Amino acid sequence: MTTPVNAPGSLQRRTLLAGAASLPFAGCVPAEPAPYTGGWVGADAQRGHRLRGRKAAGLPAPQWQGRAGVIVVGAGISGLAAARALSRAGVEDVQVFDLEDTAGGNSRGHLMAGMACPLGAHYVPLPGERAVEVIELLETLGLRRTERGVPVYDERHLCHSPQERLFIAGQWHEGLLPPVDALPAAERDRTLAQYRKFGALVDAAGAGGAFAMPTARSAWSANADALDAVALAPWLAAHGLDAPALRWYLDYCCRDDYGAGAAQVSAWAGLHYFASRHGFRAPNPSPNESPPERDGVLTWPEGNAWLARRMAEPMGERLQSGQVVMRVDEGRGDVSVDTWNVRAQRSERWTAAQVVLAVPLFIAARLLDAPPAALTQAVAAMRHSPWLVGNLHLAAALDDHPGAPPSWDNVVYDPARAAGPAPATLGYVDAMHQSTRSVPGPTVLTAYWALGGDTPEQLTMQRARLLNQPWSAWAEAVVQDIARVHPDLPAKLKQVDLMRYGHAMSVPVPGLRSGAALRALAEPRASPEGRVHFAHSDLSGYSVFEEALYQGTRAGTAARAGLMRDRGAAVVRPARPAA
Amino acid sequence: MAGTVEDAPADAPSARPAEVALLVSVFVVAACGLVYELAAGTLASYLLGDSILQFSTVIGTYLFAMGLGSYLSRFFERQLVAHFLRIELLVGLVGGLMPTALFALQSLAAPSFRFALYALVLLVGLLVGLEIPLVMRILKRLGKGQGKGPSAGQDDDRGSLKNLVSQVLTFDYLGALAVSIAFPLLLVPQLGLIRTGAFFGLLNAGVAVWALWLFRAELRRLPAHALACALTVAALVGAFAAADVVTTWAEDRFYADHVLYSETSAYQRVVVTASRQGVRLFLNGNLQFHSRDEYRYHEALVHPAMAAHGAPRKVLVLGGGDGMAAREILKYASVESVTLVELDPHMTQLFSAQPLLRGLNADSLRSSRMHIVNADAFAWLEQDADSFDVIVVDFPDPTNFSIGKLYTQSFYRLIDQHLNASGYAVVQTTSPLIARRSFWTVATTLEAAGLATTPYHVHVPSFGEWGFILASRRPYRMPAALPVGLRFLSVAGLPALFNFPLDMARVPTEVNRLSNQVLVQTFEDEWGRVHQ
Repeated sequence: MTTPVNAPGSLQRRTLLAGAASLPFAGCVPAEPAPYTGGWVGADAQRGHRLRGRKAAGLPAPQWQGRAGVIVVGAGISGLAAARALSRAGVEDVQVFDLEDTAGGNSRGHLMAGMACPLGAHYVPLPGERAVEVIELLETLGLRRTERGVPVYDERHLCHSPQERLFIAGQWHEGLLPPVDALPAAERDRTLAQYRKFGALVDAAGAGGAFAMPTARSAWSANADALDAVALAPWLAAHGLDAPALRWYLDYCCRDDYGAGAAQVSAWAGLHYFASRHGFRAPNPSPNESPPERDGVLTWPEGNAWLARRMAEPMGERLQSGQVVMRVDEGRGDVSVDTWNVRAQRSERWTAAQVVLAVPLFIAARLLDAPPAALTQAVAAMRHSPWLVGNLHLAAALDDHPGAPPSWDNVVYDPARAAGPAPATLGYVDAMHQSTRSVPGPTVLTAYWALGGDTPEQLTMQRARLLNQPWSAWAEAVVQDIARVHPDLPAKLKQVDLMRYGHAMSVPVPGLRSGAALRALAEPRASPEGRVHFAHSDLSGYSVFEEALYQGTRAGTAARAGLMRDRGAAVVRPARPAA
Repeated sequence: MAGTVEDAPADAPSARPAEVALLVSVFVVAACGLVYELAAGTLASYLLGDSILQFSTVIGTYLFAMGLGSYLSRFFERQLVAHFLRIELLVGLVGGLMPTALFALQSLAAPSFRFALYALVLLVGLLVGLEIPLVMRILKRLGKGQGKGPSAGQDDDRGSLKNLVSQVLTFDYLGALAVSIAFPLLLVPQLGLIRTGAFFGLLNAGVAVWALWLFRAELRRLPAHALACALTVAALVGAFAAADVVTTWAEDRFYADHVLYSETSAYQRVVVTASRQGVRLFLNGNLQFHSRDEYRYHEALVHPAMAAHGAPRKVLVLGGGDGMAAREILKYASVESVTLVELDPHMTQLFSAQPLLRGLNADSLRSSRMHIVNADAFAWLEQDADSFDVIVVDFPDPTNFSIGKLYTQSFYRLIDQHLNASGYAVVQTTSPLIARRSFWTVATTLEAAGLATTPYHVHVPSFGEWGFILASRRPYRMPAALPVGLRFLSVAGLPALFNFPLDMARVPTEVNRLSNQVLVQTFEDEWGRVHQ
């Protein structure tokens, strides 16, 4: 079996057949009548794939011409951050293009029966002191202020309690790290010892600021190079860390943050997950001592779309959605940007002094007529994991198993499945958890599936499945997965809206982050003429809000410096003092 | 037996109906015996809890009693049929009425319930234990009667015993099988325990009537037996017919009250009961008020804030859909409008429609000064721009994370935003005696939201020692006057409310936030200790 099959009965056989044996016919398999409605959301994959076919087809002659000081390609978090950095520096002659109908990229939101829910990224951990871009944004948005030198967050936007729970053997447990007491008696001592050992290894690796968010501000060392040379799973094995509960948890963390399992993610990335935040703390089995303190996260019913919308708002009409950039040509004096305007149904040619490419690097490589060598090298080293995000509208609150009460993030512990081929499901998040209503009721559950698998082959195969299998098959798999712990789900289910990302995020595979190519692309003159600036979390090797914000802000600042160089300071208003 | 019949087919016909009847009766008797056993076990686990223990001890007692009955059967020498008949009637009567009797006993809260349960189980088991040996002896006697007289050969005698035991036990176990399947699947769901008991009692009585008819020739004092049969049948038919009445009566007695109203709304289970002592409101099984002493609670909730304000004109009540707090608020002539935000429309409808309840809240919900809003208080405060002179916060206790949101710093910030500069808010705050840390957590949280707090407490017999917290931006000053006609509060008595004895004195606590909800955990710990 080479597919992550999650639905029982006939569907299991069908997906298996479709996935493994007869991909081209997958779309033709008749779907069982679904008692719920729904469909795919987001732009047609055709719109993005138009770019891939353009070299063969050739572009139509431009029917319209435009001009801007800076063009930002991509209105995900990095693009919005670049535009925001330019705006804060007084540069207003900016256009932001995005092929989707809504800004936000991976941080877009959705609405079901009046309830907001996420389509992708859905939380931001409280920033450490080196994440100055995040701190600045949160303070501007009024989410954070400093009282007597201590940061204070608006608790309405902090994840409400209870935050996370894990389903083990018929019962919910608080937190996501499997509690030792809930494990089979034979595993307990070994697991606790390994939890502690891993915690000590994280502490040792993180000493001296070796891990920071954004990663560009970490004190990179030979030790980091060594960690980045090997995948996490063999690194753990080399340290004798083989307890199933620990391995399940670390694999879960990798899939959750990086879209692929511990076999594909580098040990550097695996440790970074903990060392850059709060470390790894073994749960204390003694009930007298307080449980380990959990670090807070900021979250919203619609996920990070809440932030994206507020970042996009000041852009007004300068943010153009449905603007598919087809080609970027960097000249000596300016950069020309050819687009297909979906709304106007015409091809356009824009000219700008500076361009920020806030798109995944493999897209940037296709857009540029002459991609720099570092870009080609980086793209060759990268792997992008596919993701599925399902939003399930329920007419009523779900019944529950005993144990920890319904939480924001709800995950099923299943080490057998995790050890099986290409595990994908990551549990579900309750979009109404952040509401302030005082009784449970109708809600939207967001199911996350990271389809990166354990090998590059699994990743590629899953992407094909994601593109080819019909909505009904994926919807049923998502429903059956949650129905394992909530048998009453199908009876309460109204609608399943699915969002698929063929290339959701860069997987921090061994060698990627420590390679020279990514670093070269973040240099001020990464392109031949210094007019094209790369801004995407891909440059950090992995995809999180903090990195996107950092890379976007950096590229926006670089574009402004380019403008200054070009036109002289007279054209540009002096930068506003920081708020 | 069959052998006997084969041996003497020609002599037998006159005896055959009696044999068949007795074998059928073995089937019925076995079925009835198991029904009583299962009913007793079910009732014991239903009424006493711990089903494994109850079933185990009931079955043990029952089997022991059956053994005792079998042993005692040897002392029945003559008049076997008459004894059998009496035993059948007794089993039918005692076994059949056992569920009814146990229900009634339990609802009377008789301290001897366990004693009565095991006494009845012993008695029924004993009688059932007598049945089969007697039937076997009657059958054996019938067999001998057909055979070659008392001097029949030993081989024949042994053969007939072998067949007799085999046949009787077969029917015995078949009857048990039938009932063991029917009891959980058919009988209890369809008939209920009381009717099931009475029905099988009637079957026992039926066997007795049949025996009466079959052996009418050899029975002495036939009319007396017939009368006993008739009376037993009448009693059981009566129990069967009156099962609903008995159940209702028993449950009324069990809850000590008469259930006036009971409905599950979209949000909660609302139950109103009435008894000689008064009316009580339960939400999800938690007592909200008892008319006997609710005046203590509601006077204490409302007047320290209202009277201290001086001239409150606009008042907000959050929760309090029973209209009791509103009743107290409307005693102030200065009040122009009372906005009551109650989540559950069932509550406000019930308390503005039901005559008895309208009497309790003095028709406050129908006052022209009342504005009832059925909305979630948190969401309503977030979008409403009004401000108020007095805000009365009367929510259920923070028993879960959903209700717990109404006790967080974010919520109290909203209260602060809706409170006029000279206004007072008051929050019902569980028991400072039982849930001391919970009580002071609310005070700490109100203070973190920027409000000054003034805690106080009263004794409400139905609840125990109960706490409230005043929150305001100006310092609190005790009122110099209270509305006339109060039953509990007096100006002279007020200072005592604000004095906290040592066992309720302030303890340092965390701030309750949406992101930590420490109160829910603390509350559960503190009340959990009480209920252990």
